[in-house]
Amino acid sequence: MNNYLLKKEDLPAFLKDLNLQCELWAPYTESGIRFFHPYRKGEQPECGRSTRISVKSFFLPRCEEMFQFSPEPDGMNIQANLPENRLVLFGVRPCDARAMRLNARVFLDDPATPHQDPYFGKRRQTTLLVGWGCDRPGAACFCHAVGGSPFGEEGLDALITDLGDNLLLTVGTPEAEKRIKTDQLRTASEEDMAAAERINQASRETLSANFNPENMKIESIVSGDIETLFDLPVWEETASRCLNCGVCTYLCPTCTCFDVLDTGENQSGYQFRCWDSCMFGLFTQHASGHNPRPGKPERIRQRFMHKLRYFPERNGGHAGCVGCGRCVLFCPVNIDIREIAESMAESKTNR
Amino acid sequence: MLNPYEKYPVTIRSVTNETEDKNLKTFELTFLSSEDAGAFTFLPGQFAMLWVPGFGEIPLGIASSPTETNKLLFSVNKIGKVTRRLHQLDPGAILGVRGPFGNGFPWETLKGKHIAIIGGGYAFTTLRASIVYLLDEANRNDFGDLWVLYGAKTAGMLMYRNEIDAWAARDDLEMHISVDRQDTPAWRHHVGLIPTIVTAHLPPADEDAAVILCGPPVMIKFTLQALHEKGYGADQVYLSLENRMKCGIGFCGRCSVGKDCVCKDGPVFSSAEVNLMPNDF
Amino acid sequence: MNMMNDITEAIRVKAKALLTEKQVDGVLGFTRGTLPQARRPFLAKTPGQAERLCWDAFCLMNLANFLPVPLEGRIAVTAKGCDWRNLVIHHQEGRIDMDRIMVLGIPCTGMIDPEKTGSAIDHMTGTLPGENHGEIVSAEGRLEVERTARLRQACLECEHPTPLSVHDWILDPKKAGASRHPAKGVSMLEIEGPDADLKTPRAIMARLQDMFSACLMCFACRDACPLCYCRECFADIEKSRWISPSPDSGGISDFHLIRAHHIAGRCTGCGACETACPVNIPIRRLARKLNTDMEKATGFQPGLDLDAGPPVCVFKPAFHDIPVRR
Repeated sequence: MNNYLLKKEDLPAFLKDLNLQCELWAPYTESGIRFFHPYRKGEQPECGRSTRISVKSFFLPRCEEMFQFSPEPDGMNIQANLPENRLVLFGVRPCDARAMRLNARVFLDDPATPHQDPYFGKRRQTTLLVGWGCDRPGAACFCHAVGGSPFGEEGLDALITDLGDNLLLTVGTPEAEKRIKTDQLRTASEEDMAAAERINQASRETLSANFNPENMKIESIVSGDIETLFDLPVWEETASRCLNCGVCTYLCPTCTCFDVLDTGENQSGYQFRCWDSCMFGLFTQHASGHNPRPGKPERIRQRFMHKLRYFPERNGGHAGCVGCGRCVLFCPVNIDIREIAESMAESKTNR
Repeated sequence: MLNPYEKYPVTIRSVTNETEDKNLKTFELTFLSSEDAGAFTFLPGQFAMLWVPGFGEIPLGIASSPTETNKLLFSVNKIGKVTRRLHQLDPGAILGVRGPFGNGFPWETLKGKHIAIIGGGYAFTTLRASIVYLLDEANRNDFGDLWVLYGAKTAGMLMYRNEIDAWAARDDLEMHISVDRQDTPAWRHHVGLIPTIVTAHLPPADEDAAVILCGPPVMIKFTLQALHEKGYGADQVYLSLENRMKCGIGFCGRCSVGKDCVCKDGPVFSSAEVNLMPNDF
Repeated sequence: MNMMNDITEAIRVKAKALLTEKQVDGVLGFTRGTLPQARRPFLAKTPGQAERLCWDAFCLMNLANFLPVPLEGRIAVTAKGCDWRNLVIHHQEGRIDMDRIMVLGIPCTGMIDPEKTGSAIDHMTGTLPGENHGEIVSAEGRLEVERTARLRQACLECEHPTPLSVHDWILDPKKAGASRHPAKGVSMLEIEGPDADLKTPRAIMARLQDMFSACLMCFACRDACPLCYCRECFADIEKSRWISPSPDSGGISDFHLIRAHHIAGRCTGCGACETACPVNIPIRRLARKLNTDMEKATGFQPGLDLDAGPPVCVFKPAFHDIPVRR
């Protein structure tokens, strides 16, 4: 790991350089929504703030064509459509990067299966993530309560800390060393590192002041009795206002459920996958009409059980949530995963 | 990186009506490439994703046994968009197969044991594969006694008629066939629900016995009770779960039950394992 | 005088009385959430729960969407104009029996669009207490805001902020102050350019596809809409997939167009759809366009008169078992 100092005034040139190597994407606001767009020369990207949609759409796009097929005499021509572009995502928030790491556990690193998802895998291989540390956590941020941190490097190839006039550039992976030109940059000094640590510390304090991390208690939820968790009144209570829409799941960086569909009923078309949500009634409905999760309470229960109990149970205790706060901010009826976690954890202590 | 979403092209060699109402058909498929045929090695209890181009993919238990060379069978109930289209197709149509997926029945653990196979309704497909596998002379001596019960609503709904009649005539297995209600006067086999037949005819449990059980949820529930009463422990009974699937390989999240995915951690689970799962399937 | 606090206090007093005297089985209103600007639809069922009811400029959802149907017993609803209008429409369509609803009328002065509070959306730590001026306290400091500049578009265009027929008033409209003049004549498709450019169907389709290019198909618009209560939505029919989510199928704009037609003649422009949309799509405009056209042709505005149904629909008692969603 190497630490360099980049003058803030040199950032535009730095980005221009990075863009010459491969497609650079950075956050800009359009129609009131901040999201990653192709690099715009002369326009300062908005780093250090959350994007409406997470970087998950660069690894699992909302719609992704997987195969094209067309009939041939005596057969069928099937062509896989694997992604090829090399990208640099600049200004990624540490929570989002950590989420992609968690997603990789599902798509690439699950020991229970010999299979890997090549669409996700290829995108991960060809995308460089340059993070921008979070010095202004939002009111709904709680990465600190679920194993993350505002300047965490998990899932990032490099991380930038805004020191004011200068930017501290921490280059973490060999891939980043290869692609980021650092020969013109001076090495960061001990004072620079100390300043960065102070900023990190201040951010963590803000987070703790906004939300007490003790309140999430993932361990209690993971070791709780499943039947007790299943019967909690919180599921019915939440169902009375939950819309069962897909806002939480689609904005969530660790929600990766998808549907696989075909087009072209007349023998020539494509197979694609698109985002799907466990909140939707049809998600688990069998062709026979049987639905294991027929009502809102069951589906709501599944979402939170998956995030806070089943995923950590299967993945070394890591919650299936990185505390980015999007679901809390944008749920039209303010369903708050932190509150639900508290109910679930309480069920263990109150037995 | 291999692409587990890639399909082996196959063609329909034959289509057989299994049931009176013609809603269940067995499709015999041939790989277009012999290389693909060679790569597709499986064990009974595993499933494959069958692709009907332009319509979609569905998970189907493999009904043929690996001991049946150059034979890939799926028995398909016409119930949704994809299966409805499949039932319209004739021999020669091109489909796609992905797999084999899932864990299959625990054949290594079952070696040396007496095995009871109990199936109801349309869930008999992988059980056919298992019986053919067990009866094959290469395998028969690796296992103990074989007791089979297959039940359906009526005689007209039983699958593999010729085969089950032939099995009933053999002496290296004890074959029981039942219908919920009798609608043909010449019915020679049992009449009654599966749990009742189990109670009446299944040998009591011993530590070298195992049960493979497949069927609709209601049948499973009451048959498990009957098995329990006969002394079979929850770790001696194996179930094959079903759930709505799309990818079949543990990525899309649809078939999850608790921390498990039916497609990659199952579909076969012991009853003991199922007891630990949330009641969500 | 802080009118918002007065309204909240009045709601709590009224709700407590109604529930204590068992005049109703529940009072449907709002309660505070876990963020300063968050409000949740909330059904208070006991006098104790009545203390949690509240009212202010962030009560963005339409309460008619949160009725506990099928209705058992009587429910009181703290209703602004658009809530009340949708209750009327529900009654006309047979979803509820208005005799079982006690309308507690509130003359609404408009709801704040959180997206219009600028960068404070991520950091809001205070709320707007006053009527026209208010304060947002955020990590960036105190931000004085002029309320009307922050109202959501639906409220700026609202012609009926106050219910016309109530059981009781939470706040007497005569005391509520002068009503606003709604912004009129907003055209449907003024997103990227004037309607004058839309001379051909092709141009309209292109504009619509552009309008929905950011759509995620989350269905929040449909699920927040009080009028979308079909047990089986056309977009959810698995066996014959009318709506495909793939971008080149046109399925996304199809969904919005078809839904707009389903609520044409019924939509009150309450804006719940736009509020729920996570990517700021001005969805309301499609249905408003259709409704404006209908209004010009017939003079009809939905949900204002219990006895006057939409001119293009005839509702017969025989149709009373329309499948209703929860």
